[in-house]
Amino acid sequence: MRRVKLILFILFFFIASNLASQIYFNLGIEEGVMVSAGDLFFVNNILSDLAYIIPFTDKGSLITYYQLRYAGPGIGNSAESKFSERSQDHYFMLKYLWKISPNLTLKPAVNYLKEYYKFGKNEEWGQGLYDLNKYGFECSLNYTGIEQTPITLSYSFQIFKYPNYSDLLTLYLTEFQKDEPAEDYKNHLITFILENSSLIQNLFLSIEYDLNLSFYDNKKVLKSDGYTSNENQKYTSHLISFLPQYQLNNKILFGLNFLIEINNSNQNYIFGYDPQNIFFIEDYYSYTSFNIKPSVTYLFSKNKYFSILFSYIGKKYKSRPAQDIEGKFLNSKVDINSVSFGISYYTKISKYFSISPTYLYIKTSSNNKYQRAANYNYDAHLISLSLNYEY
Amino acid sequence: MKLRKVLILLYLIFINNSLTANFQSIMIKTALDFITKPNDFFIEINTDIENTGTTFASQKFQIGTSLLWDILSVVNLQSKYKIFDEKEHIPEITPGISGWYISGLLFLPKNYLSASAYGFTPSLTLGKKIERNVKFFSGIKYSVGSINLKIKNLSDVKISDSFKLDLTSISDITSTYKEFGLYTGINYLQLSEKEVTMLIGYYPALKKIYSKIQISSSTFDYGLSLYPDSYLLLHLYLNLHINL
Repeated sequence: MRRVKLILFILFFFIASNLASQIYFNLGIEEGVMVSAGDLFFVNNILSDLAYIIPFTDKGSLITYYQLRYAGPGIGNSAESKFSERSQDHYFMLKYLWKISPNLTLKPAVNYLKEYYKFGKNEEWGQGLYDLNKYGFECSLNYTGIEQTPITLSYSFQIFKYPNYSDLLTLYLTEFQKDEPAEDYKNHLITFILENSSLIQNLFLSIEYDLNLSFYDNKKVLKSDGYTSNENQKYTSHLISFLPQYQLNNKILFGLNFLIEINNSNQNYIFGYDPQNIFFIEDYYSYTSFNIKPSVTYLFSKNKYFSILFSYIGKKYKSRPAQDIEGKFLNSKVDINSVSFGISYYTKISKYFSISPTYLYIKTSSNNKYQRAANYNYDAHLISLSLNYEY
Repeated sequence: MKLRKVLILLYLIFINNSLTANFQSIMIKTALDFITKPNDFFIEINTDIENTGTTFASQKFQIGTSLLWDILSVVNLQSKYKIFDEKEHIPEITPGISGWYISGLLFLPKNYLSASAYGFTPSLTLGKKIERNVKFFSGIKYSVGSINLKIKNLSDVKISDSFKLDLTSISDITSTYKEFGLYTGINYLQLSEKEVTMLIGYYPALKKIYSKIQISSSTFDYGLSLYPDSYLLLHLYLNLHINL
């Protein structure tokens, strides 16, 4: 069956490549070395995109898209360290571009993501606890009727399935009555994007709001007595991002990414394995996260620029108590602060090739000193070189 | 050429850091990795040696060898032949084959070790010109190999003063692989008659990704292979080839 799927996939891309009016191909590799607490880690990431645009009529065209991504050990994009996790993604998308009127475009799409995820090198690919299959449908509407102010409204429905997931603690607490994967969930995402480049001269502005609603299929909410209730786990996330870019002159570009995320979950948490001696924490996963990323870019020419990057991430949990180094609970709630500073240079070395060396320093601290589950107190230096081919 | 310097720099960053960081630990990990997963190691040799893709500068026939592996006693040959030029809606078609054999194993002391290792890869590449000097290609390949290692009378192999391996329990490593692979990439023929190729490949059953960057002249390919989940992430290679 797997071979049949593979052959169909090859045939599909072969036919698409011959019908395509445009091909987009991108291959980027990033190699780096990271030092943290005297230990050395290699960072290697590969990203490849392949897309064909097949025109049907003057008003409609089909985009077929495939992305292969490998993310090796390195600093994650959240406040927590990810020094040994690695993942590979295969993402397929079919999107139809339908120009309803000169100012209105409808883009329905279906997509599928297969993600293999493992916590270390010695795990086998395909057996990871958090291997993921994601099936998605999305539809976005783009309106360009207001001069230099495009507006996009989109909705996507996604089904997340974790075929390898099992949870021993839940199995134990439910006396091994429920052995179905409990991490599967469905997600609704509504996105609104407003862009503007006419309000102030040389200022490009983008404002985005995401409403994310997730509903678990089987995972029940834990009760204070250690057993589960009939209510399924769910969470709601509001993400507001504000992304202005200001071009001071031909040489200097200022950028500012400003993101706030409010995540509300109904799930609780229990510490301890003996039902007679457990520690119950209500609303364990709700948090508020704040991220600000100012940057300055100096353009030597169209193909060469130098950037100074700064980032601050603050994450505060609503009810999760901090723990001291021995695991004893404190009165304060967990907060994590992460600051990073970096410099990056980009240059094109030929028509399609570019390279970009980057240095990044990240320092993360938290009032949660207990490190068995995750390390929130670390600093790291990362030097990397990325090579990119884009057509 | 700038790109060649970048490739060497990338390689040196990794090799230098590997060596200065913890050479002994890395060697031990690599040795254990080889014992537990010999196929992974040989698939990488196979991938280094094969020269999939279209022929250099759209020539009809190309035959060559990977010199760095030859020096390491892995004798090898790679060839490809363009059987069909691109026409409307029909891509350029280039079948190819490569093979390798570790001749150095013949010289191992027979009292302790007897071994043989070889592999070959037939491939089929479809190419499409997307600009005057730019060609996009995709292909399929089937990598086949066999490794047979018999260890006799080995105990207390000294890796360093503080580390010895007792290999008495390991008597035989026999492994074969038959892996189906996919690859895609782009060739860019520069005005200087140097061709730059960037390629990404995938072995679906192994879930193994690799990538290659190669600069080719009419006689040599200078290349770098990247295996992101391997202990030796980057491999340099140098191919000698003749075009007809």
